[in-house]
Formats: sequence, structure tokens, C-alpha cells
Amino acid sequence: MIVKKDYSKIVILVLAVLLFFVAFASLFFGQIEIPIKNTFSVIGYQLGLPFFDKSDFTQEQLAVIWYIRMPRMLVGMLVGAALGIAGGVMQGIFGNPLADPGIIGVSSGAATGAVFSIALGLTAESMFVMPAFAFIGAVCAVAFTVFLSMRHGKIPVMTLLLAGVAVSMLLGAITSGLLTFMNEQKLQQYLFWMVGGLDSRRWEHVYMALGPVVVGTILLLFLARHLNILVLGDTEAKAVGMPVMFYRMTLLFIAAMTTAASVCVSGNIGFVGLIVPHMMRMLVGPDHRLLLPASAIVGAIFLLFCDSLGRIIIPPAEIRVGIMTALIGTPYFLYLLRRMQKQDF
Amino acid sequence: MGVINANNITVELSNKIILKGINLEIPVGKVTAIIGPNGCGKSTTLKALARIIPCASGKITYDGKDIKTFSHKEFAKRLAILTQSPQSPADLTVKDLVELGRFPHRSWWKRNAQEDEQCVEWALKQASMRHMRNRLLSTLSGGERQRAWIAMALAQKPQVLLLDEPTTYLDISHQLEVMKLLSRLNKELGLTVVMVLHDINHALQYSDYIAVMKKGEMVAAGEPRATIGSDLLREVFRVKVDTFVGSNGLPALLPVDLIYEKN
Repeated sequence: MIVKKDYSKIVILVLAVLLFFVAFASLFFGQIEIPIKNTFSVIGYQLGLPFFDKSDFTQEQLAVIWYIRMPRMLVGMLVGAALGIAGGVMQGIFGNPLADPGIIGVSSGAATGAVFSIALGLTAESMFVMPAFAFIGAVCAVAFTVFLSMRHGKIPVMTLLLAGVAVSMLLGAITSGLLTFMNEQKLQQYLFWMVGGLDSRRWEHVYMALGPVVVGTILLLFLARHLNILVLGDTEAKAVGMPVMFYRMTLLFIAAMTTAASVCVSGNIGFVGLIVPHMMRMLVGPDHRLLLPASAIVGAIFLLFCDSLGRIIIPPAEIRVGIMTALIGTPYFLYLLRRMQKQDF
Repeated sequence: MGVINANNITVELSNKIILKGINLEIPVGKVTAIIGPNGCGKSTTLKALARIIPCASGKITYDGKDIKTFSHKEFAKRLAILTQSPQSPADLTVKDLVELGRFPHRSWWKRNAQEDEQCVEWALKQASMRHMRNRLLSTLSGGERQRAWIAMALAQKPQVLLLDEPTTYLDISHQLEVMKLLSRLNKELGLTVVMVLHDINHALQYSDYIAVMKKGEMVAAGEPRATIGSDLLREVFRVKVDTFVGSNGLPALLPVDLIYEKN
């Protein structure tokens, strides 16, 4: 079922409104109950809006809403949007509905980077060390994958895909190897990173991810038209006057950077980049000018939803969002596989 | 001087020489057919003319200008190519596909939505695909899909259209439908058509100029009826043919036997 083109702009609008509500809801859920009125007061006061006064809420409520839940929500939104849109781009570039941002080694590179910083004992120096290492790891992994698959200045899509898998495996082995030499405390740190989560994310994390994710998302939206052409295939894209190699590499690079910037603040979160674009393709159709914004918005919605659910499902404990996305994502993934066996994509 | 001139071009693919010094002149406003046995380099020639494969040596000109000097988009506005049975995303509609043909006419800062829309409509009409504009490509028959791709190429508003075996996998009536469509586009719009064909009879019936290739070389070129004869077919395809005359006065060939080379 594909929504008719005339309605698809409305669909985007509806999704945006939905995101707004989900974002507010995620501010409201948590172990400490805070009335909606006070939640609004905190936000209004912090944003410097008139009619909101300090006496409307307690200091504790201020701390919980503004310094705990707000950055958590914003990080979730950024990461979800980044993974959603990057997934949409990867599926377009590879012409494969099962491609996701991790496919060219971004996630495994980030994991290896993170584990290096832990192994070297640098993580105590500053909270920026691990994200920085993760980001560098991701960039190196992608560069290595591209380098491996390049031949005579060309990069066949299938080779790139296979090189990505190989690089991921190699990095996985390096990560595991390093882990075997680590003590318990360091292992805990790594585990915390490996299973992505939004807990104890602070404003600093928001600032770290904000720039790259916003810039990356905007650039990808601008390139949606070119992605539509790339999907036709190399020769056909060249035939309508598109420098295929340049745009494929540009799209790949931006998508990889956007993903890297997001996983380095949240840890590895799977399935968002895989499932969300696929769902959106069924809803708004194959035109990337709609598919990409829809994937970004719904990626944010899906992540916030999973995070909120993980917070309230077994109080007082929390289920980390990386687990929730996999728990909800895996059944859907399997359903996709079953369906694909019946009909060719 | 033709609209496209290939001057002594050589093409190598992964260190294998595919084309050995080909000369070809595409007459403007005519239908040109390229024929030859499998693996003789017909498709490669077409791709070289469309700048999709680079030449190792030699020069190809469009309107007297080296094709390497055109920008990607400027070239795509002049020349469109349809490769052999292109793969298309199944959930694209006909109109989606045709709209993609407007790509060379758009830029980052300029987009004439009205002109694009008119052009897409025009292209759909030319290819008789207006009533199917909202159909998904996956639901089309082979002939309809071929017409959808032709409409997309027309939306580029090219002066030259190259096609690689446009009738492959089609039944006889759909083959004729495509050939007649191309012939009409040539006559009504003055579109220069260049196509690689398997069926020599199609080439005889629908082309004004024919180029015959064998083993990466150009064997003969000229007016079809004067060029294609039993000697040439014996030499190039190793077949013996009988010649008949169709009800439209044009010759029709029937291969009746294989000729085995004596060693």
C-alpha cells in the first residue's frame, strides 16, 4: 500500500506532529513522577518564555526534566533520525532492502574504537574520549572498506557489500581479542557501550551529535533527487547525465559520517536503520525525496518510543534502548525475510 | 558529416581489446541499425558512442565536438541511451520513471516545474503510455516496460536516441510495436535513432542506414538493401539465407542453413 503522492506531504506533516507528541511523552515518563503542568513549567522557564516562574516547580523537578530527560530525549531524537535517514540512503545505494548503516563497517569500527579507548584506560580522562575514539574507528573502518573494494577507480556495489562484511568480521575479532585481556570493570564499560542506550546522556552529548547529524541530514535530503537516479543502476544513471561514482561516494560518505556521529554518543543501536526505511518505503513509496525525511522522522519516533517503553516496562529497572529496538526489530526483520521468500523485492 | 562520428576508436575492457579501430558515421535524422553476431562488440560500440565506456584511442565527435568536452548534463540533453532490459525498482510508477528523465534539465538552483510536467506528459503521450502513468513498473508487460523506458529517454529531450536490442524478450507483435514507435518518433520528431538489433529483417524494414560488425571490426556500412546480401550474411553470420519480397516491397530474409567453415 503506497499513499498517493498528493497525500504524501500530509503524511510527512502527520509524522512530524507525531514526533512532537512522542518527544513530549518521553519527557513525562520516568521513575520520578512529575505532573504535566510542572513539566511544561520547567521547559517554559528554561526557554525563557514569559508566564513561567521559578516557583511553579521544585529544584528536583528542574534537574530531572532539564538535565536528565531533556538531553536524553534530544540525543534519542538525533540518533534515531540519523540512523533512519542513513538506513534509507544505504538501502538506496545498495539496492538492497536489507542494507543498513552498519553494512560498510561503521558500527564495528566504532566498537573497535571504543574498546581501544577503554583498553588504554583513557576513558577516565574525559567523557569525550570514548566518543572521539568511536568516531575515528568508524571513519577508519569505512575508509578501509572503500579502499578494499576500489579497483581501477571503480567500486562495484557487490564488492563494497562483501568488503563491508569482511571488515566488520575482522574488527569484531580485534574487539573480542582486546576484550579477553580486560578486567571486569573495563568489560562493564564496554558492555555499556556495546548495548546502545540513552541513559545518563547529558547536554554535552547533545552538543556532540547535534552539528554532524543536522548537517548530514540536511545534505542527504538535498541529495535525495540524485539517489532516485542512482537506484536505476550505473549505466542508466550515467545515461541521464549523472556522475555516478561521485554521487555514490558522496552519499555513502555523508551517511557513514552521520551514523558515526550518532553511534558515538549512544553506542550501538541496531535495527532502526534497517526497519524504519523499509516501513516508510511501504508507506510513502520509493521516491527518496519523501522516503528520506519520513525515515528520519520515524527513526526518531521509533527510538524515543523504544526508550520510553524500556523505561516503564519493568520499573524500577530499565531496559536499554539498544535491547528494545532489537526485541521489537527482530520479529519484524524475520517477517520481512519470510515475505521476501514469497515475492521478489 | 554525421551527427556522431566515431573515428578509429579502440575500446579495451579489463585488458581485452573489444573494438579494433572502428569508424562509424551516424547520419542525422535517420534510423541506423548496428548488426553482427554475438560478442562482436555491437553493444560496446553503442556504449562508447554514449560515453558510458571510454575509448582507449580514437575520437568520437558529436556535432563536430569531441564528446569528452561536454558536461554530463549537457551530453544527456543531446543523447539518450536505453541499455538492454534495464533493471528497475519494482515499486516505481511509470510517471516516477519518466520524471527521472528530466534530471539533466534540473540544477541545484533552478527547476522549472511546469516545463518538467509538460515534458513528462509529452513523453508519455509519444510513447502511448499516458493511460498507464500510475501503474507500477513491476505490473507492466515487457513491451509496456520498454515503452516506459523509451518515454523516460524522450523526457530528456534528446536529439539522438540509442537503443540496445530494444525488442529482446518481446513477442512478435510487441516487437513490431516498439519498432513502429521508434520509426514514428524518427519521422515525426526528426529524432536520430541508433539501435543494436538481432533481427536482420527488422534492420531491413526499419532502418535507413546499417552498420555490420564482426569480431570488433566494422565489416560494412551503408544503405540496408545495398549492404545486406547473401554473401555478407554468409561471411558474417555463417548462414545461408533465402530472400523473399514482403507485401510492402521490402526484402525479407530467411536463414535456411548453417555454413561450416572448412578447415
